[in-house]
Amino acid sequence: MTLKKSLTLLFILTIAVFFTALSNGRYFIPFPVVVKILFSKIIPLKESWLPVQETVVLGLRFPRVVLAAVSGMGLSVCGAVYQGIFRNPLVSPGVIGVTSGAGFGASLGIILFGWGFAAQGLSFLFGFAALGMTLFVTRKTGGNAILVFVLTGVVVNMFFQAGISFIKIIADSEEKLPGIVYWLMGSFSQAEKGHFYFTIPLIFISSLLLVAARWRVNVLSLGIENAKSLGIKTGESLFFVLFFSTLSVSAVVSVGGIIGWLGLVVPHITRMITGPDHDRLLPASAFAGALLFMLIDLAARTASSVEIPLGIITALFGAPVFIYLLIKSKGSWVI
Amino acid sequence: MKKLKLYISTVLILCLFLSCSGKDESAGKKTALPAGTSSELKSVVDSRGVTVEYTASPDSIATFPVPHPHIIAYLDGSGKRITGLHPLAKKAAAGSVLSKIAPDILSADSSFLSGSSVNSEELLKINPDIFFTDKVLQGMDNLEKSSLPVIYLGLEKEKLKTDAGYVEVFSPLESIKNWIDITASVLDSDKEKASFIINEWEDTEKFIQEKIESFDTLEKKKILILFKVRENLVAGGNSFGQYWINATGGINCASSIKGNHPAMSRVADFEDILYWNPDIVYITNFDPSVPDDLYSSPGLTEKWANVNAVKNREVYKIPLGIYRWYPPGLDGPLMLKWMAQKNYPEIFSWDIKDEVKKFFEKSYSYSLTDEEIEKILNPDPSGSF
Repeated sequence: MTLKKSLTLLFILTIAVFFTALSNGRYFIPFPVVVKILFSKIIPLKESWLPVQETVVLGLRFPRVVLAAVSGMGLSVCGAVYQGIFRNPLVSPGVIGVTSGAGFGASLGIILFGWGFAAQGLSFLFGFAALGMTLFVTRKTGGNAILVFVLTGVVVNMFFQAGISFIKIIADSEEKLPGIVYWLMGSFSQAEKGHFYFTIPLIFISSLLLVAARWRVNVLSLGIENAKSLGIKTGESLFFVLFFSTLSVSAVVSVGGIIGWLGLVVPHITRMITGPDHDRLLPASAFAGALLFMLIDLAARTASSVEIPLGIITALFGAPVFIYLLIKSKGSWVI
Repeated sequence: MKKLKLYISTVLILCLFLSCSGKDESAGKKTALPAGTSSELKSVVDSRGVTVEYTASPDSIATFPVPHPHIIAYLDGSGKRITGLHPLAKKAAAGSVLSKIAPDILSADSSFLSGSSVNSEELLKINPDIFFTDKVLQGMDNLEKSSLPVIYLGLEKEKLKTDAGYVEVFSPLESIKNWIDITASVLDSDKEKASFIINEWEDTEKFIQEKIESFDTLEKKKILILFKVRENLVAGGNSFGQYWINATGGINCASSIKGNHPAMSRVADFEDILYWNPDIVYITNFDPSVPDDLYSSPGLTEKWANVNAVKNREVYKIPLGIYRWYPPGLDGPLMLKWMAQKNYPEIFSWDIKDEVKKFFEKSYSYSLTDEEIEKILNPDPSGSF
């Protein structure tokens, strides 16, 4: 299948899943009504539905489904980019400590100011602080940049994980702890219209820029020395990629909590179809991530009346599927 | 070599410094349970069923459960014996009339506790005779190795008949019974005082039940208790909330959600709440939100606007008397009266302000001012931290 054909197929699938996700939920609304409500915002339609149905479709489901889609896109693209530039199939968006940094920032925000903008702001701040720490150490050592970078990332990651654990210990079990714990396990239940103004465009644009810069990732994936010998300014490319991936990951963490697993798996599943060329891998990962996240979030909010955190669903269902694929393909697609 | 010597001497000096820096506050005080002590030993069976031995009539009590200090203060008539408590209990006391009934609580130590962990050395510094807890805390292993008696106050369950059949719920009444029993026997409290609240509670519960049952055609209200508003945390089918709703003749919208937390569970999606469409919504004191937030606060009102309780302006903040009314507390009988009236004002016509005043006089021998009553019924949202 040509790239164009497979991308078109993925695009159609994504749209289909988008409408499926919008028309399913705990509050039953017939599919035609959902479509009518959606289109009423574009073309004038006579209001034949209940106000509560409009609240469900436009106020609750639409922001949540879109947020899940762009988050899936953001995390999967970052995962694919990192696996490429670090030339390591085991890395995920969490590898350079940004996820835990942002997670720590948000937990700190929740314990200090409660849930809200402050928590989101701190989440961004600490996401970038984690990147800053990793970059600083790498620059100081000067040696094998990529290896030092990953190693520092692992350490920074542990540092912020410890910070999160500390906050969990000092947080009161009835007051702040439930908020922090549920949020850390990952959920899009906080999605609201307000996210359309900042978070959603931020993740979307960062991911698009990363997809657009896929040639840089291709070059970097040859290894720094090889890239340099081709006359590429590796430092600049690396910074570009890291900056936008951090932006995207911090934004996802600030609204959805820590959802690490899919960022590792989606690129692998996609690579089975497209092969390792980032020219094809990145756009395909973007669609596949959006698609899978919408489905997983749909399961999270409809499977039972108690919310099942995304992290649990992804691991419970994703792990067996992934292992099956790994055995069937004998791991041949791993770089 | 010189460098090595320098390192070693620095480390030694640091060690010396650190070992001197711990304050010795226990000088002159007795140890928890001194060997060969002549004081009489007594024992109590705690919530785990374990028999714990302690020195009779303890005069220094440290306690972890946040609701516990107000029970001690009630049974003792003051907070003099409370020497250590949870920072949140202190904060709750400071914002309620408890600080007037038992002002000593405010000067008790709370530095040894944070969240769900205890610093056992800091606790031993206060030198308490007894330590109460409701669960295993981080850092408690050391405590159990010391001679300090640790008494557990667990939450009790009760089987309730609901519209969905019999369910086992965390019961505020049964828990308070158990807590009062254990605490009263440790403190050697007046037996009448210990049974007064429980009798009052059971009588009120019975009165409300009978009254509601006498109305055959009563259309039961659908009720939702929000533990935390923005996080979609509600009182599920086996929580304290189920007890309160049952006892006041309502139907718990969230009864299908069952979790292992005594106070709350998380709803899968806000759509559930729209689907349930509760007639009345209550907000606990564990969240600073107030009814107005659901009526008009951006980000919330769009979601809530179509819910009956919001349309009919039937969202209420649960009061905070001597302690919060939602978890187990001594104001339980008042919670029943207040909630029954909110649910069915046409049936329960008592003057709730008067009821609060009478109850405080009878149980805590404290005469509330009108302003204090107003504050109890419309608690300051900041009191819920």
